[in-house]
Order: sequence, then structure tokens, then C-alpha cells
Amino acid sequence: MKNIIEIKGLNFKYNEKQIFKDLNLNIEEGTFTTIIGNNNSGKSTLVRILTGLEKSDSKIIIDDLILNEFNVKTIREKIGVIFENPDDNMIQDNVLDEIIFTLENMNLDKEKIKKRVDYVSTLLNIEKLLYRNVNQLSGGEKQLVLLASIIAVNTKIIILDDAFTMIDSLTKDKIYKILKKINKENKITIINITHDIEDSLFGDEIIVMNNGNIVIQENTKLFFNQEKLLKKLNIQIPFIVEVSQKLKYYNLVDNLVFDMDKLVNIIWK
Amino acid sequence: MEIVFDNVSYQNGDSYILKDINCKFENGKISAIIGPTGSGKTTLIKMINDLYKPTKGEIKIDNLNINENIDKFRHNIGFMFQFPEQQFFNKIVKEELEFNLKIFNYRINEIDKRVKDSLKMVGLNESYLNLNPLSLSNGDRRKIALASLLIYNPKIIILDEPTIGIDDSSKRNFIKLIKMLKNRYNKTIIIVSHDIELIHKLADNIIVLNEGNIVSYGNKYDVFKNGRQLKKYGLLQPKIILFSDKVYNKKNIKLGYRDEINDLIKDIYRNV
Repeated sequence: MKNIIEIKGLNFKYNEKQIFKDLNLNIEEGTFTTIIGNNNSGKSTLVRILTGLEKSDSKIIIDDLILNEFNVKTIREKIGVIFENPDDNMIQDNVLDEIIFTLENMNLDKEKIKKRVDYVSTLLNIEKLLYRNVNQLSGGEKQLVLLASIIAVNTKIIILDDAFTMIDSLTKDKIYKILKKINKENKITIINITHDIEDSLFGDEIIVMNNGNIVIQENTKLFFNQEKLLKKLNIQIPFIVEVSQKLKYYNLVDNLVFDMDKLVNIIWK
Repeated sequence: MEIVFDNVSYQNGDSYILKDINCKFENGKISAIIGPTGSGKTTLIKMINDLYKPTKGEIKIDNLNINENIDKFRHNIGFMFQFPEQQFFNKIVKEELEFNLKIFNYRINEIDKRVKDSLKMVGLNESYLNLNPLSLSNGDRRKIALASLLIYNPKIIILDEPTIGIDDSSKRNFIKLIKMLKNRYNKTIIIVSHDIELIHKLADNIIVLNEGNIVSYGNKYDVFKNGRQLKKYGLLQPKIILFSDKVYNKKNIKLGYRDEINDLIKDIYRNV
């Protein structure tokens, strides 16, 4: 697979403060990557740069196009992004309009638009929200609507910047399963920035950022197998990883297990 | 201070946002309110702050009606909103923090010390004092919002989604801080959050809301043990509780409910 995102030697200052210094990053097409890192580590700024909201002079290639003023519009159409605060993302008054806004701008005919709206509203179970006013939605409902509108557009890349913080746990679990399916079946590249380490287990790759640097980029399971490194990074680890790490120490399991049912069956054969 | 909801309803036109709510928030206890989005959680806590008034029933703090006595209680209620930026209206952090102290007539020489102490409590240093609160990251905004209520030392602390956007180490710091406020200062603390793991670590009591009704209410283990019921309301059990339940359902071994992974490991070791 080719790299769908390539950043070469990115330098970036914000208000005189150096955020990135010579940052390099490649993301392969079709991967599901989780980005974690402390507050102010540069995660959200990176998203703003990739989507052309912040300008940099460094070389950034997205889906074979160099990110510059001529290409930025085309590149924006390849990326569906949800930012942290849902109110910053909403542009329409009504849920249905919010979902079809971009579809209409893509000059799709009515029939196709209807098909896509039907598809995402069933997929995310938001049929009953379609005719509501955006202002009457709760935070979590807004986040669901935003996800619906980017899935409807079917962009090659989806970037989620702490996008599900107000969604209840069961729905969040379902959303991740849907995203994983889209990722595998349609080869859509997903980048998920999150503060909830449990979410990282849905992805296949993990990136840890700190102070504007990429500390590590690795396969998620391999990453969680490096106990010493995890200790050094001082990050929270998912429940199932911590439990199996400790059971391994007591010789109750041989390897890390990432699935709770499997783990129970291994302990009590 | 103890807060009691006595048969409280809140109606918007014909529809009930909250219906016949009976519950109690005690001194020195952390109560959590959970439930699917749009279930009335935020409305419920905003009623404690007199932002919404009951259309039926009564809310009391230490046996006094809140709405009739709100001026008496105002300085004892600290409220952190879901979107802290909606509560900022000063240009720099220092002014934001001082604001409530000035309203509550604190002495000038005390103000400076409190400003510094409150920043320290939320893990920020003095370099933040002259920054614009709106220029900060979401996580830092939440910390400033928390500091701006801790600064006047209210007896009741209400937090709406306090940990959204804050990183691991800040979250651990937050958990320690809230536990200290409970244990050492006997505060009445109410948290609304979608983060079920956070609730499990902090809460003593839990209220589950669904479509404006209380559908489950009790100490955290009583509420969390009922996985099937929680699922009906879009909620998952905390991982450590779910694990014990799985072991019981699959292997018929009762491990009991634990708060710490280390205790769970010991239970497993004893039962293999």
C-alpha cells in the first residue's frame, strides 16, 4: 500500500512558539491509526495543518497531491474531519441539511443523495434525529450527526479529533465497530486522536506524540507488548493489557491477550 | 451541605425533560449521574444552580428551598459547565479566576494567594495567569474552569463532563484532587460524565437517567452489577466489573467486585 499521508521535515510555529521541528510522518493507505499524547503535544495542530487550516511551508503530500494553495480544496474533499467541540463543526440549522450539505456541493443527484442519507441514518441509528433542529440536540447527538455527515461523503481519509467524548459507552463501542468495518471493506484511512486509551485497541497502529514529536509509531499490539517502553512513556494502558501483563507475571498466561472472552477461557481452560 | 430532590419535574411545554425525580446528594459523597445523551443529566444539575426551576416539586439544600434562597447558597455552589469556554468572559486567566472572589467580596491580599493556590490545585503554573483562556487547549480550559470554582471554596461542587479532552496524567491528578475534596473537606460532589471508568473510580452513588426518569439509583456496585439493564440505556459496565461478571457467567466462579486491578489479579490467582 502507498502512503496516503507524507509529512517531510515539518516546521511550524504558533504565536512565536515552536510547535513542530523537523517532524516526519508517513501514514499508509487503509490503516486505522490511533494518536495519543498529552495536552499541548501538537495533535490538534497537526490535524489543522493536514486539513489546510494552518499554513506551513514544509512538504506535505496527501493522496499524491502536494498540499499548497492550489490543491488545498481538492485535498479538503478527500478528508472528513470531526473536531473536538461539535459546535465548531455544525454549519446548518437542521440535521438533514447538515448531512446533505457537502453531498449537494458535490453535485450528486437527488436520488443518490437520498440513498446516502438513508444508508448513514440506518447505519448510525439516527433516523429519529433527521428533522430536528441542530440546537436542540445534546452534545452526543451532535457528534453522531457529524459522523453521519462525513461517512455520507465517503472521503478517502477520516480524521477524528476526540470526536466521541459525549457519546455513551455502548454507542461508542458500536461506532468503533462500524468504523473498523468501513476501514477494512472500503480501505478508508482512519486517524483517531483520543484520550481514552481503551479506544486504541480498535486501531491497528498507534502513534504517541509528545511536545511536538512523534515518540513512536508502531503496530498497536506490538506496542503494548513492550512493557519497559510503556513504563517509560508513563501512559495509561488498556484494562485488558494491564490484566494480562500482570497475569503473565504470575505465569497464568503466556502472552498478552487482547480480548476479554479469550482471556477468561485461557485462565480457566 | 445536603441536596434533596423532592418529586421534582421539569417541563418544557408539554414534554417532560425530567419527571418525578426523588434523590439525595450527601455531604462527603461523590454522586454520579449517568445515562444516554439527551436523558436530562445536564438539566438536572442545572436545577441545583437555579438555572432551571422545577415546574413541580421542590429542591432543598439543608432543608431550605433552593430557588427561594439562591442568594444565600450562590457562593457555596461551584458549577463547571460542559463547555468551559461558555463560562469565560475575561481576557486573561488571572481576571477569570479573580472574578468570583471579587463578587463574593474577598479581601485584596487574600485574592492573590487564592489565585496561585487554585492554579496549583489543578496542576498549572503561574505562567498561565496572563494568557487568554480562549487561547488554551480544551484540556487546559477545563482546568482553568475547575480552578475558577475551587478558588472560592464552595461546599457543593458540580462538574459536567469534567475530563473531556484532558490527558492521562491530568486525569489521574483530577481523580486525586476530587477524592481529596471529598475525604478531607467533606464536599458534596456531583459529576456528570460519559466516562464510565472515571465514574467507577470516583463515585460512591450513581443515578441512571433515561428519558427524564430515574431508572436506577444506589451505591455504585448495585448499579454497575446490572449489566443487562445498563445496556438497555446505552451504557456499558466498567471493564473490571464486566470481567468479574464474565468469569461468573462462563465459569461459575464468583470473584466479587473490585476497584483495583491488583486486587482482581489476587482474586484470579486464588481461584485458578
